[in-house]
Amino acid sequence: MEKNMSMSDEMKRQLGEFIKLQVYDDKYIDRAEEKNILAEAVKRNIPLDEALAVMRQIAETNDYVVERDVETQAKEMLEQFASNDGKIDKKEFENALGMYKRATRGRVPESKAKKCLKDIILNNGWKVKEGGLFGSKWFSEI
Amino acid sequence: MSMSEEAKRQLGEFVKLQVYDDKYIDRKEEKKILEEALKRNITIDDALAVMRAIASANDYVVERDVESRCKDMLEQFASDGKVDKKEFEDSVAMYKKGSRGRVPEAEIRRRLKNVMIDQGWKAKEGGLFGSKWFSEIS
Repeated sequence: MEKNMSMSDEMKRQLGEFIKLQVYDDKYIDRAEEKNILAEAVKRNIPLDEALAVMRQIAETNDYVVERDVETQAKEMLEQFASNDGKIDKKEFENALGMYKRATRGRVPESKAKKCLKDIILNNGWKVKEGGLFGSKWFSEI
Repeated sequence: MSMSEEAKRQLGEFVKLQVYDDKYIDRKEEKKILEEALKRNITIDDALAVMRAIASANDYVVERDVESRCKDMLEQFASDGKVDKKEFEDSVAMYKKGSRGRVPEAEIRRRLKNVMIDQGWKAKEGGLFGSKWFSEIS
């Protein structure tokens, strides 16, 4: 027997339409939009995990980018770079930035993407390789 | 075609049964889950949504997602023309970590080599003192 909290096809369709409306201009779900979607789901008595599952399914089907997923991916990449020799060098940072830019399809300005990656590095206490006799202060300058 | 709570619960139990020993959903298991869903008249989209929700709630790893992330990484490395040994090793390490050691390292190397070959990405190897690290992966 179906419980009240089950999400019907109609509820799913309505939430799907709401998600499409949030991202119709750029196919990009940033954190604020994700929160909006979840708030809308709560208003409609849809459990959060089901709303997230619908959002992910719609994102996958329609090729939408979820900002949180891109940041997770960038974090994993930086974590690997930080662990292979203890420090993240400029080339590795540029690689993480390139992946981030590609994944977000240029929706995030480069300066903001750099700041986002810098924050991830600082929040996780990872070290960077910069300076030295002829080295630049590429990380500090962000 | 609406999926009832009971149908969802049953499919959820089937998903958990597939991965109960290792919390890892490989491609074969994913296909089995989708086949089971079809048998129960559950659409592929609904089944994938259930699988993802359960994976996310129970911290299961979906192999296809790990491979997709490693592919993105290799694509970035290949964007300057060639993937060097260190970059390839970084991708192998990420795959190992992502799959929680469920896939043997030799198999990971083979899979990533195949990804590169399929995508036409080149490896930087050889030269006067360089090894044939990429060609040697079999």
